[in-house]
Formats: sequence, C-alpha cells, structure tokens
Amino acid sequence: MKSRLPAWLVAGVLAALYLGLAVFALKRGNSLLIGVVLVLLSMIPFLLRFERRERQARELVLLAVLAAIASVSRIPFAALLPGFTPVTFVVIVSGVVFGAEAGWMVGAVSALVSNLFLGQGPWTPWQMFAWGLAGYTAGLLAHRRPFWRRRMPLAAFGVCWGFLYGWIMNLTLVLDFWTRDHSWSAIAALYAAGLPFDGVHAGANLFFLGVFGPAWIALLERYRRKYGALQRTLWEEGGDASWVHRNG
Amino acid sequence: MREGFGFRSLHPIVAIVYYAGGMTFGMLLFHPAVLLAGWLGAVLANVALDRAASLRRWAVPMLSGIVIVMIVNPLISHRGRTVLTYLGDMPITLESVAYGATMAIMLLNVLTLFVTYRLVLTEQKFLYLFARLLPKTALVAMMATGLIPRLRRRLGDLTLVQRTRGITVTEGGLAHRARSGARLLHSLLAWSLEDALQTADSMQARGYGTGERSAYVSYRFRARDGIALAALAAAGSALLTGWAYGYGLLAVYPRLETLALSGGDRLVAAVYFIYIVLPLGWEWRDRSAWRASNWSR
Repeated sequence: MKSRLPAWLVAGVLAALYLGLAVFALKRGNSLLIGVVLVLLSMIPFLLRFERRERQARELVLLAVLAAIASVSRIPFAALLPGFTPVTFVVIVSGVVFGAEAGWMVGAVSALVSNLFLGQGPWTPWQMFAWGLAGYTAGLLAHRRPFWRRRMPLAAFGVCWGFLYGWIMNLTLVLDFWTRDHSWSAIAALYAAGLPFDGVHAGANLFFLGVFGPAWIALLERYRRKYGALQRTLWEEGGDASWVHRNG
Repeated sequence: MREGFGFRSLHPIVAIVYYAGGMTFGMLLFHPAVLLAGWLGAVLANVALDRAASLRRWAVPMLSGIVIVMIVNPLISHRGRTVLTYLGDMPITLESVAYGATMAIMLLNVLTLFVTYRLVLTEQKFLYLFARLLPKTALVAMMATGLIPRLRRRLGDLTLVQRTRGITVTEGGLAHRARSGARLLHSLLAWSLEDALQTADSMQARGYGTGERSAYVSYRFRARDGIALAALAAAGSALLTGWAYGYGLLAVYPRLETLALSGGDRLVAAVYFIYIVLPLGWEWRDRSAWRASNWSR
C-alpha cells in the first residue's frame, strides 16, 4: 500500500502537466492533443471503479479471455469486407451477460490489445473509449432487463453502436476541422463520407447480434454460472429465470 | 529476444517517456520538413531494431491510410485563398492540399514510430509500468495479450477441422462465410473459456490476491537509463521551447507561406531528429562492445 501512493501522485502530476500543454496547444490552433488527453482522462472513473473492488482470479481471467476473443475475432473476417468485424458484437454480448463494468473492460482491453497486432497509434485511446462505452451501455441496458436480450432489440442496439462507433472515431478529425474552419458543412461532409463505413459496421452488428446474439449469450451465461464470477446480483437466483430456460 | 541489448535494454520508464514524447511532438509540430526529419529518424530506428521487417509488413496499410488522408482533406475543407481548380462547383484550394499533405506526413511519422513500440515496449515492460498504478487492469491486458497467439493457433486448428464439415470462411457466398466465421468463433469461445477456468484456479491455488503483488522481472534503473532520460528531457525541452516560439510550424491559413525553413525551423527539425534517434546510441554502443569482445575470433 505504501508504494501505491507515489505512483498515483506521479501519474496525477503528469496528467495535469499534459492537460496544460494540450490546452496551450488548443489555443494555438492544434486540437490533436486535447482530444487524446480528454479521452484518456475520461477513462479514469471506469478504471478506478474496476480497481477498487476485490477481484477473484476467475473474474480477471474471464475478462482477459473475452478481450482476447474479441481481438482474435477480427482474423477470420479480415478477408471479407473492411469494417465487417465482430469486435463490437463480442463486446456488447460481454456487457449484456457480465454487466456494465465488465463490458467496459472487455471493450477497452480488446482495443488496446488488438492494436498491438494491428498497429498502435493516436486512435488507440479513442477506440478504447468507443468500444468500452459500447460494452458499458450494453451492460446498463440489458444486464438486468430480459427485454433487451431478445434478438431484435439487441440487433437494433448493435446497429446504433455501429454508427456511434464511427461517429466517436470521427471526433478527432471533427475537432481538427472545427478549430480550422468553423464550418458545419465541412463537418457534415466528413460524417457523410464516413457513412458507408459506419453502415458496414452497423450491418456487421446487425448480422452477428441478430443471428448469433442469443446463442452467445446462452453460452456465456452458462459459464457465468459455472465460474460463479462477476455476479453480484440476486437477479438470477430470484424470480426471472425464464429466458435462461428458454435459451439454454 | 535480445531484451538485454541496446535500445531494448533501457528501463521501461525511459521507453514510455520516449514514445510519449515522440508522439506528442509528432502531433504538435506541423511542418512537412520537420516531420519528415522525424520520420527519417523513425525509419532508422526500425532498421536498427529489426532491419525494418515489421515496417515492411505495415507498409501497404500505412500508405493507403495516408493517401486517404491526403485526398479527403481538400475534398472536405475549402478554406484558403489560392484556388487551384474546381471539381464541379467545389473549389480545391492549395492551402487544404498542403494541410492534407502535412497531416499525412504527420500520420506517417507517428505510425512509423509506433511500429517500433511493439518491439521495444514488450508486454512485460507494459505490465511493469502499469502494475503499480492499475494492477488489475494491467493484469487483464497482459493476460489477453498472452492469450492471443494461443487463440490464433486454436482458430487455425478449428478452421482445419471444420472445413471437413463444410464450415469455411474461404468459399461460398458472403452470408455463408460470415456465418461460418461466427460459428468458428463460437467454438473457440467455448474451448477457451473451459481452459481459462483451469488457469484461474491454478492462479488461485498459487495464492493470487493474498498479498502485495510482486513482479518476476524487476528492471534496474541503471546509469545508462539516467543518461538517456536526461538527454531525452533536454531534447524535449528544447523542442517545447522552439514550438512555443512558433518554430516548426507551417502557417497554412489563410494563405500558404513559403515552405522554406527559417533558422529556427531547421534547429527544431534537427532536434526532433536527434530526439527520435537518441536511444539508437545505445544500440550502436552495445553493438560495438559486442564486436570488440569478439575481436580475437
């Protein structure tokens, strides 16, 4: 415990200095740093929440496996269509079954880890942010509400995230265009240019969540009970186990 | 491999400072010549570390991304005084072409630098750096990284076996391929989850979470790390000062200024190049020491 404090202190001071530099750069018309810094800072509450609680080894290994599966899942689809990846699908399903916190973790870690193989860059924090948020919202929405676990609502949710993901990733360029041009039409043109790619991503989510969503949820749910991990609600033992029977 | 040699033998803190600074200055400085100087340094770093093998593997996706950035900017942004031509009724300005090109070079520079990141900042160093700050998150990230090669191998096995049942991602229509891919992943998930349970229990049995975390590899902060860190800090503060005084920046809007470098710009370009190639000094030093020790043979 005594070695923990200085590490936090050092990180905090560095973060403050970097934020200052980014604000200074923004004032001089360079918005690239401020975007990255703000995204990194936005991860702190999630990370703190995850770190604060005592974790079993099983929970950590489970999250690592899910993140690794999400990263590897890009491989069989790499040759199909650019942008047609099941990463968002794996992240959303993880959030649905294991809750918001776990969903965020799987999303963020799979972005970080898959970029070790696909190329790190300034977009890594943005991807961590976008996928983390996809998992987090999936957990918030569907973890305790059986309605959202059904095929159609889940697929609709996936389509939304297909577009949202692209829009979040565009933010770097939007900030850059805005500090230069102050024109909404350029930003609209930018988003319009991205629409086909976002559409492919949304289509992938629709396909995977629509066709494989329930099967994957049933599989993960089985392991959740088997591991006894990441469950801190009495929801499953209590009344509503109907969909569990239905699916597995 | 070659963990104790040259650039890779430096302390993880030095490595992370190097990459953070290299990326930050790569995004702050905005002049094609300055960024090209940095890119040259990054290419040299790639050559010194693995004879640019990884860089060559990345060349095609990198170049295609850069070409996209170059083309998209003038099509979307129409600011600038000097109109080169009209596409329909859309003005293409010299300024946005120049801005797009500089942006593309910036991207090229950062990407090339980050190709070496994987070679230098291995998973062990990553864990060492973040284990004290975020022990659980770092462990999850590290385990996921370690799992990926194993999962890839398993996916290969599954692909081979399932092909005999007609489940393949290389033949048939798009729908069939996508469906097959997802089925392969489903099997992979079930297989890996089962196996992970054992890993977790064996961690538990060895006492995970019972006390303060320790690390097997401990990095010592040696004299060379101190020297490297001080040199990086000196180059970094010189760059920061130059940038704060407005050197290393190309004024694109409203009218493109001359591309010629002022004295300050040249200095910034030189210092940025030195910053990027600084750790290669250790590479050179260790290589010559190795040669000298083998002199008699």
